[in-house]
Amino acid sequence: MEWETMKLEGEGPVRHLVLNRPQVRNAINQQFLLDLIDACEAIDALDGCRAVILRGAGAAFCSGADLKEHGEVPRTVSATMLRPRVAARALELLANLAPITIAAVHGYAIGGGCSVASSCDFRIGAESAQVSIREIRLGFILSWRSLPALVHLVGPQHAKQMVLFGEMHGAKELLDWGFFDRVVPDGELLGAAQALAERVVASPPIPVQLTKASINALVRALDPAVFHGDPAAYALSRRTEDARTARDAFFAGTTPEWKNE
Amino acid sequence: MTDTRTPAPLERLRWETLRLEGSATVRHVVLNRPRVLNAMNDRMKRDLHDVMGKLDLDPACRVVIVRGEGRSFCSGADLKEGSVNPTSSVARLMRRSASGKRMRELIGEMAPITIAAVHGHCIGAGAALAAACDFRIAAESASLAIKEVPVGLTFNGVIADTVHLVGVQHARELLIFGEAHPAGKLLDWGYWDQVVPDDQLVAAAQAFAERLLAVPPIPAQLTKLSIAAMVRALDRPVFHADPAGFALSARSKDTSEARRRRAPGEAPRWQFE
Repeated sequence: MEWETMKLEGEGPVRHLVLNRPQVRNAINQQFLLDLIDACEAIDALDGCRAVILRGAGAAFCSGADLKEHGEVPRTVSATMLRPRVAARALELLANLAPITIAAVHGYAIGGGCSVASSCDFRIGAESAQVSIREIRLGFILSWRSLPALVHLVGPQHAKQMVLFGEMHGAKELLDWGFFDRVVPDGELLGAAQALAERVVASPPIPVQLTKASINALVRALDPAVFHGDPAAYALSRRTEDARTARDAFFAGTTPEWKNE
Repeated sequence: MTDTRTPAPLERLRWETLRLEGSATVRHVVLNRPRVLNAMNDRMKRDLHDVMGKLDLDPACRVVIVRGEGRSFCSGADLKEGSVNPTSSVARLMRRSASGKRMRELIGEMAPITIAAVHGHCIGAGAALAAACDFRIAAESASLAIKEVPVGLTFNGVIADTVHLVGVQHARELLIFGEAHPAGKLLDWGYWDQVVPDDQLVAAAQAFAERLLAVPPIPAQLTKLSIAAMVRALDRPVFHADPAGFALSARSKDTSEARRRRAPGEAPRWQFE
């Protein structure tokens, strides 16, 4: 099965969902989010699929929100809240898929790319993997209701380090922080993901599915309620003067002066 | 109502089991399988999911009215589609339960305000659809019954919204006995927001929608979403195992006994398995 921005490959119990915009390092545009929703629906309709490996075609896993499309602030408040809502829906579907999901991450996993990986059950990093969440440096919040998944993985303290400062974090550090379950040489990434998927396939399906659902329900119990104001917070932060200043400074490399407005 | 924004390409889309009417701001989603009283089959679930997802992403759309073509709103899950019996596969049963849950969540979290306009039968899955909406307007003919337990199944997708709407005690009555309840009674219970004569149903829903259009959109939307988030805060974690409960009940031998035609006065013989 193939969509504009991704494709579902393989047969039988292990499938690969390949993020497929290699020319822009699999950057996430609106179509990507809609395709991810469709892909999750398609995966859920598959009989006998037990594990899905998510990976990026080309040089990176995913370079985050497509700034070409995402750079302009939408004209209305409703339209500004639309992207975080559709993204939250896509990531929620991904997190709650019946099969076990494994993100195989090489190269960049930036912003929304990190959120896609965080929404999977397991994450295997290649040594080349680099994760950075730059939203605040661009002047707005990490939205898409994706902050909770990151906090669950690395804890509040490492999450603050990652989200507040927007620096680049390497594979080894993220292994220590619990973001990656394993880190392997780049040439072994797909083999390691496949091996993990085969361990899933060798386990009895019904208790695996029920246990995944229970752990997700427990850990994510409060996320939708606590974060229901996420699109409004995003729209507020996105439509400030400081957001414009931040964006100009980010791209021009200048030192911004904040107005707190 | 004057809305001059360009209509979305939604106008050009077609669905097998429903159709889209109304204006760009007030959309009517019309369940359209009148020959089977709009019984909800898997196709209709997918179509509803698709159209609601698209309306959620349409910034011009502020209100969605859901109603049924023909003699009834919705006669519940399409039993002809079967697959809910002791020999059904666990994976399929759990998938079926999970897909209903996703639809409920999608409707609860969508930006437009949703109104169910209900006439005639409103059974099982139809009641779940109506309960997931923000408001419910009923025709005098509306008869609501949640019959899953009497036919041997659990239907947790409808429990939470029903409890939120009518309170715990009325919900026990509705959900455990599965009997049909007339419109006036459910108006008293707070299930329906309004009951109107059948020939005024669509106009009443449209008038309700216009009242909503007169309210400033951003605070209305944020308030709707906050109320849904608060009321439903615990629903997801509390009901996370309901696909398991549904599969367990569907595969129980007692479901066959529940559906067996019995002679008048004959007591059912439950096996507790």
